[in-house]
Amino acid sequence: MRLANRIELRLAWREFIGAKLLWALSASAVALGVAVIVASDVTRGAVLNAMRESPDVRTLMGGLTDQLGSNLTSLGIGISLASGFIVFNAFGMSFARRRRRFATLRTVGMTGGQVLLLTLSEAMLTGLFGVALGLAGGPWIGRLTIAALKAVTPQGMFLFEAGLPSAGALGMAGLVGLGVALASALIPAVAATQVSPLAARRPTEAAGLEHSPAWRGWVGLAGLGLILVYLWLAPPAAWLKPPWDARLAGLFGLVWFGCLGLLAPSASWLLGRAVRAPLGRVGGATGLLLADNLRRGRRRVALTVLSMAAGISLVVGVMGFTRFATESLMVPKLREAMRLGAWVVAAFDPLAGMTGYVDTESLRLDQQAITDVQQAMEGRGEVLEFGYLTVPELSFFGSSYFSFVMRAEQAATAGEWLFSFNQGNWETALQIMQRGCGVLIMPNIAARLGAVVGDPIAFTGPRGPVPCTVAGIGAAFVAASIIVAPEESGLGAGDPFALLLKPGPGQDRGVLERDLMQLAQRRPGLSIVSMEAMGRAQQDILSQVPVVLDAMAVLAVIAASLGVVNTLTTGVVERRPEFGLLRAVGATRRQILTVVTGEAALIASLGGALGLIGGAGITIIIATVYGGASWGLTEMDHWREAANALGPALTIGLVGWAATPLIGALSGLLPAQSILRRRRLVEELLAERH
Amino acid sequence: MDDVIQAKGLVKRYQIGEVEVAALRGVDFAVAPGEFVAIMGPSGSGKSTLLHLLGGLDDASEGEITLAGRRLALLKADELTLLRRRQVGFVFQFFNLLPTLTAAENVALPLLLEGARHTEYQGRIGELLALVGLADRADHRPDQLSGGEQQRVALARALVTGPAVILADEPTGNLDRRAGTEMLTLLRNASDERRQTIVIVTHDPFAASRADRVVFLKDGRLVHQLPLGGVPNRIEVLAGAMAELEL
Repeated sequence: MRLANRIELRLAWREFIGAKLLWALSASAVALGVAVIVASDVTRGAVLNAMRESPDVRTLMGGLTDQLGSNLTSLGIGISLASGFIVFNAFGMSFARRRRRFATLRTVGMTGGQVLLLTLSEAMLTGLFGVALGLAGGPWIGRLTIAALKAVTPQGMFLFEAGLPSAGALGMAGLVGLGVALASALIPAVAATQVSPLAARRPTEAAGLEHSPAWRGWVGLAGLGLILVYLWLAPPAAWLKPPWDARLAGLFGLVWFGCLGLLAPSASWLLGRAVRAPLGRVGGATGLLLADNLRRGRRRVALTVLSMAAGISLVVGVMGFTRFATESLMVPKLREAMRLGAWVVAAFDPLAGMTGYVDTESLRLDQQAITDVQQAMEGRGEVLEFGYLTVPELSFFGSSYFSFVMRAEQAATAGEWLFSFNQGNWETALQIMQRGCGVLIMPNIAARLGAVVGDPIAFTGPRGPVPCTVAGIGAAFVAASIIVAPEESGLGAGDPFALLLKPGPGQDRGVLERDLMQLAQRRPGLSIVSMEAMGRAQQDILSQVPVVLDAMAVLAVIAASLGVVNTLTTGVVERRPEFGLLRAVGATRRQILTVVTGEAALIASLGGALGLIGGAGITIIIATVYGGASWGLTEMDHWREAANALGPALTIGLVGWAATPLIGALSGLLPAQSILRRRRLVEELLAERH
Repeated sequence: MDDVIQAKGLVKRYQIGEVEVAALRGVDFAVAPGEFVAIMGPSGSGKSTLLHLLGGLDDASEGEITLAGRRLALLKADELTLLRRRQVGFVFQFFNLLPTLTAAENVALPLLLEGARHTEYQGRIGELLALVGLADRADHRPDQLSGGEQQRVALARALVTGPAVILADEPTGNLDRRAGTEMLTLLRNASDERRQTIVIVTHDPFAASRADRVVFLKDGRLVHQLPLGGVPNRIEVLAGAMAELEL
């Protein structure tokens, strides 16, 4: 039989075009996730395109843009998963409403397999529609992200050129969108195959009040409480070693959200019960009905609450996570470096951002400049030479983050700000480095390589594999591995990229700075800036990253509000006879509007509250389970750092929560209008008969 | 005394796809205060449509309706809503109650929509529930009540604002004979004791026999009116009229 002639596919197509609004909303939710994945690639591509003229810089920036790109991609996947709730809910509700139709199909001989094909075909159509929409909209969201980055970062910090999504990103986004749509529809689709043919004879009824099994709520609440108490008493970050810190943090996160999932239905039920009397006093019948609607269609309400919770969790969690990552993990070493009172010498202006070196053919300092600087510093402090290299095996972020290339004695005398040991010490490290290539690496890289101090490793150098030895494991400045290699390895060859000038004890820093600035004036193209100014600039960028990421996470809230629209639309259709009856006995349009939008506002508020708990949980888990072990930060007060990250995260979360009733109410307008637009009450009253 | 319901030249057309269907084709109809009128006719004769138009649930394509002294066509949407809330009580065959509200709350619904306080209506709800024999079921929800009980709650709700008119569409259509009889007695009492106007649509000659007058519709036209006041064998007379009209 030709595929197009299959009745299941024809029915799926007709259902898809017949319930446009419902599927369009689900598809839009899928589209948002897909679009953000595409946007992340566009943003990254735009930054790299701006580096087209300078291969060195392009390589160097690859690691940083990988970070931005992978953060945005993670957000896109997070939003896609949140949209999965919405798709699951939409299909669950749609299939439940069409129970009699499935039963009739079963009565006339449709097999369970054919019902499955029919329902999954609808999911596929929704997914395809969403993917197409997302692929088309992604580049635009990418451009918006670029505009946001331009707006919040100092001028010239980032440079962009038009970027187009890569085939790989388009493929991945498409697969994620389709996968989410199909996977989310699978359970409702299987449930549809279980419908008995006898169901065709029973009328469908809108759900009455449903009791939520209290034990689930208690289990969820107890789970959340137990996790918090455990993390308070014995934060696992104090003893966990990478890679188990990240793995266990993921597991704790899953359990945390599982507990929220158990709590959501009970919370909806309790909220409905708690607000019934007060809302009844204030709003009469309207108040009673909107409160009651929280206790009906338990799954429908719970999933919508969870969709909104996922959106707000992303906003809070992204802020909490990035604040922790920047303030607690990145910034401590930066602060140590800023306290040195040192200067950085480079062939470009580090404070000018990418504009400083975008057109520079080479970042390396020429030998004459180095000699001039050394003469200026003569007897007044140290001159440390830094080279940069991208070594996938030693990359902390992804596979293209840079490593420092230094001379052994310089690394050893630099101080704790550059590297502090968790394993090994300078004495043993220097012994290793004197024998040949030695690397100082962060604990998570050591875990990835399965190496301890003294172990031989091999990594990819510019001329091929380089045999080396792990000389130390610990916390490194800007999370960059430090490679110390003999000249013949080819790693240390050539001129350094930057010099760090560290004033000696008792030196007049003011006089030294004046001399250095005079030198900079004499040599155009040579930039000398204080480490403090550079650190402040980096802190500025780091403080803006959460804002940009959060702006993207707001898309998750938009996706969640689509879920509210979807749920209410279905709920309103189910309750058409009720609304007709209400209108018949004298409810005004405004009162009906209040019932629907009020219900939406309550659902969204509850989702927002659970989202706050979800996002706070992510932040606490990151700080107390993941902690700083991967970064070599073993002395961390995990709860203090959690509190530091929670402050801004909860602040933005509370703003989001305050907005959720409005978001919900606005989302409720469309379904409410759909019922109020119907002029003839008779249609509503008789809806149950047909 | 002026008629509480007056309908003149009522026409109602529906557009079904590309086909226009006339449900009513020019009906003139009036009901006096306190009168109990039954509308009978075969399926598709337009009787439910007529009831919906009289109650302001739907708009007439042509003609005019006056209800409790107000011309419905001249009323704005909210005015019509308030008229329904205060002057009309509805009882339907299916889906009469809101499933999440208790019996008492369902009865109080029009008052709650009016913004009345609980203390203001509590006594009245008690009286009405007692009137329909459900004083002990006030806190039950619809799914805890039988079909007959639900229909009596719906009648109590229709009575709660003391409306001038009660419109009932097949009020006994979903009930057994005993529950149906109880329902008809309550409607009859509303007419006799409180001088409320009752208009019911029914297929059932037994139900129609409790009315003061029966109006017959056929193909969207009012074809006959049968006063039953003082008629001893009402059911036989009704059956005879229906046979004569080929209904």
